[in-house]
Amino acid sequence: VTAIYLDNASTTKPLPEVLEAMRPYLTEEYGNPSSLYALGRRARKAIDEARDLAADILGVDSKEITFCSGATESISTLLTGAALETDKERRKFVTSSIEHKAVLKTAEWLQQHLGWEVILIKPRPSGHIDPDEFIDACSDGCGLASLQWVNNEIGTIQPVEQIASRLKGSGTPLHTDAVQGLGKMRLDLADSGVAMLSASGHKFYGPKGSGLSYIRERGVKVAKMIIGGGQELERRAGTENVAGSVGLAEALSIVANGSDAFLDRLRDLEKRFLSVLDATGVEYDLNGADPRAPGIINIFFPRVEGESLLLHTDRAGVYISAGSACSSGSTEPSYVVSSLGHDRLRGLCSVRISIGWHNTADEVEEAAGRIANIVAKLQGKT
Amino acid sequence: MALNEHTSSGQKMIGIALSGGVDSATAAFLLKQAGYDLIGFHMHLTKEGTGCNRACCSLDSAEDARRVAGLLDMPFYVLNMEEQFKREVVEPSRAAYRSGRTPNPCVLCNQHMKFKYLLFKARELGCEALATGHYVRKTTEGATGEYSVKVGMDPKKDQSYFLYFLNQELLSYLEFPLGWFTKEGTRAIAKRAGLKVAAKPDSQDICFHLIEEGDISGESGTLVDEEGIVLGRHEGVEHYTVGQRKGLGIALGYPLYVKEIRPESREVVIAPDDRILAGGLVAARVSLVNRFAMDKIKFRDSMVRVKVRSRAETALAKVEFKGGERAEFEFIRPVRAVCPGQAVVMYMHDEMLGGGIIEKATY
Repeated sequence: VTAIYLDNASTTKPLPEVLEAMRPYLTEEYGNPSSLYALGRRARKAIDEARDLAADILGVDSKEITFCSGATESISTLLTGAALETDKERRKFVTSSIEHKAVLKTAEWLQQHLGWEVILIKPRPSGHIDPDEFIDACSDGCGLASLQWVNNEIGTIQPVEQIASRLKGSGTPLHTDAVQGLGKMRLDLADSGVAMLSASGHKFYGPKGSGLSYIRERGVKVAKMIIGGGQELERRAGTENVAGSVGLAEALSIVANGSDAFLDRLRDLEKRFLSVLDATGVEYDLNGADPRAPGIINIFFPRVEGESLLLHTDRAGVYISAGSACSSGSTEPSYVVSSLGHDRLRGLCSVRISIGWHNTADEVEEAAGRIANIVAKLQGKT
Repeated sequence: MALNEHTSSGQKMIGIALSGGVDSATAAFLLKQAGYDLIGFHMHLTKEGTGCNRACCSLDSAEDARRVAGLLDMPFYVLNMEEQFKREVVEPSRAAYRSGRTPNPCVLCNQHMKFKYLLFKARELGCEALATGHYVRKTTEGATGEYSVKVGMDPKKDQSYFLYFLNQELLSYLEFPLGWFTKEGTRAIAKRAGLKVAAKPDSQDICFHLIEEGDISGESGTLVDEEGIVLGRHEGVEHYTVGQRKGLGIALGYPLYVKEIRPESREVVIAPDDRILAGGLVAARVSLVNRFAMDKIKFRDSMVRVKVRSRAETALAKVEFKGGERAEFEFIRPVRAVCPGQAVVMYMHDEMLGGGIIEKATY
């Protein structure tokens, strides 16, 4: 059996170009960017160029980009750092109930350790946050808000641009977790009103261990959370991950440049997957409605426990996921699906298929067939 | 991408319950050596951060189990069984304490977690059998091929007491590779196999901690003697176990023990040593491992050896089956501290015949 990887929202296979761009900095160009001699200067130049490239694609200034280890570090440090710079009377954090754990757990931390009030906005059954409700919650002395651009489990696109522009000048900086957004849609941060953004390289065909933070220069104060040397414009101490940052920027430039053709392709693959599923006649329903980013499909299979399905699909060589992995590696029912107003059972019986650039039409059709077989078997059993 | 993991060697596929301890790891190693295709399963039973650090439920144990599976190159799955564990083990155990009984969570866990949910998942995935690291031997009766269960070769480690409920259907799916080994032997094999868990201390195999930390709302009552004379007060019957000596807070110049717990009147009956010796007991939910067990018992004039606690010596008793899965046992010599809620398990020579749950002691 040939394995079919349909878990691109978990991580992606790095592009060959990305590996090539990184290779020098893992071999001969191993210098420390802080060193003054030529080897170090070349490493510094590579980081600077990567920063320029990323800034250019996002429509922001290079000085506003910080490289780090990944979106979780970015989210944790930006939110806690911004919270530390917020006035006492504005200790209110607004976000959605379907954010990634990096945001939700940081919110809990703000509550427990800094005494912040946390407001979690529930999505509509479609999986979208109502912008009016979000803005309303921010209206009264809110010091920080965060909203994910694209949901990692159900792929719904949140009205980040609308909310960001409405929050302009309100004194509430808006952070966005753009992990699933980058590479799946065009993001132009220039004049968007977004104050901060977090992203991970490995979600768009870059290397793991690379991440990016955007902090708007005007009007946003973020305390330094990783303390030490003066690297990354004094915002994030520690010797730079040169290869990782170069790889991230390279990957970003590829997905951004190929955007439209790439997105059409993902949509086409998604359609093919679902039409095979339809043809087999298995009972299913999609979680989350349009607008959705292409490539992430969350499917509810009645009477089929996600955990069971995952065990079987692994045996059948189809790599997909369900809910969110807990630290022991077992599967927890999806809090995102449950948040949509469905019962717990639906969260337990839903899986995520995420299609990526490497997938072919044959692959997604073959995978849909294998999944349908297993589902039919499991649905018949109970 | 090549998929060696999924190419079947054509061998029988066996699921192995990996707790993260040395026993199940060694059992897995032995099966691997024997050439079986294995799939490792770890039962995730409780949320981290419950304060329960027993080997059975900590995060570390999942990690240890994962390492074992990695070393032995088998697929490995952590199954989320939190809800089932709460429903089938934790809640019933708490309820038992509240009603003055002493539950046996290990029995419940084997019966409902391992040999129900886990076995179901393993079979659903195509495993022909599920193996565990229990120290018991599964054998077949020559003529009919019926299964019987013998005590583990290591008398100190024998775990047949916790598996009294086994029946032919379950046994047809179960394997216990460690039944023929001593604990020292197991550790030696684990060490030679390079299993990191070789030196890991024995797990308690109990989740009492978790069960007790929950809300066992204590309703105070009285400590009374056998005549009903009040000797003192207590903070809830759930804190007492029949046979308990320590922590009674009463001094009469001679040792005192809990003889009986009466949840309705919230009385804990206290008696001296010679008065807590039970002459017999009544058991419910009694089952036998195979059809021959009954014949054997009858042939021996209903005399069996019984265990009323996992760590107790066996005692001779005469058993009378009452129908409706009930049985009465009459001890040949009185037995101390017979706790309602614990299992009573019948043995003959090295064979475990079956057992049930103690309803009450008779004096």
